[in-house]
Amino acid sequence: MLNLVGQIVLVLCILAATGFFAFEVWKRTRLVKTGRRDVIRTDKPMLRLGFVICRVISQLCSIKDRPVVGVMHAFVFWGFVFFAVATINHVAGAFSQGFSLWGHGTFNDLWFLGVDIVAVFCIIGTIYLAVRRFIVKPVAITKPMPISRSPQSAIVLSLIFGLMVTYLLNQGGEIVLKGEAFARWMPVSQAVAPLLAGLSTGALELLNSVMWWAHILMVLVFLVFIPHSKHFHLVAGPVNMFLRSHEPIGTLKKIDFEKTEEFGATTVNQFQWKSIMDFFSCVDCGRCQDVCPAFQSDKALSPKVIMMSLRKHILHESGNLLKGEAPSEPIMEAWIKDDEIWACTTCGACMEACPVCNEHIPTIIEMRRARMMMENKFPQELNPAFKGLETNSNPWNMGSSARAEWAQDLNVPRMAEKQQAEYLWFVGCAGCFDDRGKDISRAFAKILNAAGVDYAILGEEEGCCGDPARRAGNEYLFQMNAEQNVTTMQQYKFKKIVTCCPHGMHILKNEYGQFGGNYEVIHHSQLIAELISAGKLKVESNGTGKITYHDSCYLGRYNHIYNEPRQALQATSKDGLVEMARAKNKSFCCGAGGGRMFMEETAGTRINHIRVQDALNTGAATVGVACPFCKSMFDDGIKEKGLEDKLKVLDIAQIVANSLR
Amino acid sequence: MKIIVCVKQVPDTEANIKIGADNKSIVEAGIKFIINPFDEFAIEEAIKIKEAGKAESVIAIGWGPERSQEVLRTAVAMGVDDVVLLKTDAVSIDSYTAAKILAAKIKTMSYDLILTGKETIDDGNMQIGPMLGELLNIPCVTLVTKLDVDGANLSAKREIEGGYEVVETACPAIVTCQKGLNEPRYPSIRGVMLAKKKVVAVEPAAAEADQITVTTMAYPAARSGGKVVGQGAEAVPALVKLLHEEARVL
Repeated sequence: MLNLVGQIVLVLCILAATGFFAFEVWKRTRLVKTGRRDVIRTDKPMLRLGFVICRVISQLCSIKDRPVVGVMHAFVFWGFVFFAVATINHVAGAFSQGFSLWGHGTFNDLWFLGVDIVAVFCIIGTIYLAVRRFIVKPVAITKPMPISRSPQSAIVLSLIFGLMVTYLLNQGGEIVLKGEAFARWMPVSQAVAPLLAGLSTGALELLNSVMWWAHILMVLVFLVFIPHSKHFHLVAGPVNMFLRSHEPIGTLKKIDFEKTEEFGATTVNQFQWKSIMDFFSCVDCGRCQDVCPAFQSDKALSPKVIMMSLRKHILHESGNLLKGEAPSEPIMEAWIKDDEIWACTTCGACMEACPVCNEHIPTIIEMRRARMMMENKFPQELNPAFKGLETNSNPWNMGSSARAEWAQDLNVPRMAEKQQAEYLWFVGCAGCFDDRGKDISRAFAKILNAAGVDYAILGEEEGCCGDPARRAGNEYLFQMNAEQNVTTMQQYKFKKIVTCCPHGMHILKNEYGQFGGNYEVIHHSQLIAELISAGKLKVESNGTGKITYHDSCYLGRYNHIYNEPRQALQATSKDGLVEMARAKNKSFCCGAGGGRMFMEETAGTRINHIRVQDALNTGAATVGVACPFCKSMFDDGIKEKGLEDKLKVLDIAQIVANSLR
Repeated sequence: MKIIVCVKQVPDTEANIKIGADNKSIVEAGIKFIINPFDEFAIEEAIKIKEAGKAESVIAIGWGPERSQEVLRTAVAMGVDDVVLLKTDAVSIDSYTAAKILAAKIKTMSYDLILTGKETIDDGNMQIGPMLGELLNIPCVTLVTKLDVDGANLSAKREIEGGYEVVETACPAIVTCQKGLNEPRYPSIRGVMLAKKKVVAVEPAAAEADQITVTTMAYPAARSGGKVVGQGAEAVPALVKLLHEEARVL
């Protein structure tokens, strides 16, 4: 217990620190509220809460992608949880001798046994993390400079370390002063006690008092420091997990062109509030950039830099924003560069990896939307693609009347003739106009006909699904495409839509609902697997060497379709399927998504070369793909690297069509 | 400086053109119409001159049937200040008639520079620019790939057989634009939204009877397939012989 002066000083310190902390949290909450409010994330609250509790307590958020670092982080996290109670006791003890939150029963003893042990693990954790950050220096947390500021971490790690040491020294001193009985359940504190045994009572009392104050002051300094650092994730992280999206990764929101004249985010307050929440939650851990195809191929983009720069930006603008005024400057050029936002392939690896459930893709697309629609600043190569989508409803600007020419000599029925069918096959632009895509369409037509499936295509009536336009920020053009397709498909009766392209599949399935088009959509690999297992397709295993399968982002991470493509491939391969080191939800993008198919790739190394190397490393002779864009990227990569004699790329439909009996 | 741009709506370059039952015109159904690509260079150049602070206004004049309003909207979306459509009753008129209706309108306006495409890709006569120059009694510089204006004068780089020349003339003048002059911009969506609301002024064109009439239209002969001469090195002499004697490219 403290004397009155001590109590007054303590109360003032606590009020100052907690007041400051509360003010900073309040300020950030208000900044979040300056964003657009179209996103609602409070549905299914119990499900959300359960998710947060499981993920935080298990520390899976941190462990899942980095097991060792994650466990060390868990040590520190658990140190925090146990010490929170210790700190309450610590403070209350200043006013009431011998206070304990849990009383003085066995539970309290067990808890402090926990605190004692956890303190040691927490010290191990902080030392490990400090060594990692300041000696090993992994790229994830030290690059790109200068956004990652190590001093912040140095302060925080020292504080946590200090909290543990002051606690143990204080407890050790208490044991020496008050005897063993006090600490039956504190083996570590007991081990510390002998180190202090030689000190005089006066010296021990002084030491104890110093340690006591040092401990509580460190707690308060920490409280003041948290909001100004990435360590704000202690507060924002769990909240952000609660607010996570229940839609597939990368699903984009509709812009209502009737209601707004400001499209996308030109200024930081034009982001959705959830994006701003993301900025405050970012931990700077770099898990996103470790898996980002753009960052890994030396492009200007790092997803964490986007988050951290925008956090810095909105804090910089907080004066204006909280007065209800517009920000003093736009985002682009001052805070984010064009090379960053246009390098994104929208592959979703960052969102899959993020421990606090940040949504990088919608944020990047909002900036693209503003750049594209408000300022007309976008990579020039997109110009012909947009014109093509506008006049001929395909990004290559080939005559729309030639859309079904690939099917000329095949027996492919049209919806216009049949009026109804079980499957509407949405062929897509690549399948209709790109030579390599047309091969996939022909193979799939052969499969459908062999299995006697009741299907039809739209032919010349079909238009681009709009994915390249939407991902490149041209929402207006996308909506033209989408509305046209919805109107066309309304004329016909069908049970399901099947597509050969994961981009078309995702957008028809998950985004056309915004335009009144609610369909059951499956990917051709799913239908093929189903036809094989139902015995409607007879395939024989070819002895053409091992196959490795490349998971397309929009099929895998976006829609969790991992097994069916593998089942289809397994049925055709005698030599079996081998996995690449990066597979399933950790698959590495081919480089074509997000409209990147139609942009130049001049900076750094080529993404498709990296992925071709992944495939080559498996020793497989064939890469099986499930997307016409992946196929083109692989095909180009294999040719550019001169590997035609070692590796070839085929779509699942082609592989299956080749092995039909 | 005031700039006038003349623009025409033409069938899309990728459109599948079908000849009508009269054998004199094309079937419009199913055809996508676009802005004449060479006129797009003219619009872009006019807007660039304005953006450089050298012109105070850019007005686009279109001619043709009612549907031609669409390309004028594209011009608005790209950034021209005002548009007018000289509406003709006929879907297609000859170059001289077109030049005359344009000249009649332009004579009522004040201008320092007229820009238009070197040709329209539908009829491909390359006549309207020079005819307009004659009718307005101003100089006409054709096939321009680089243009510098300074109010009273202009300097233009133009394509000639096997090279280029740079010419100068006094304004007002007419310039016909060739590929290479600039990269036409993709209209901003904000511009597109504004253009949607734009009321296009439509004036009936006082068109006289055409002096040239189309009597017949026909498809080009179907392309014959390539010829495989042989394989490997032994095929080279035969290929060279054919290239020299038949194709006459060597």
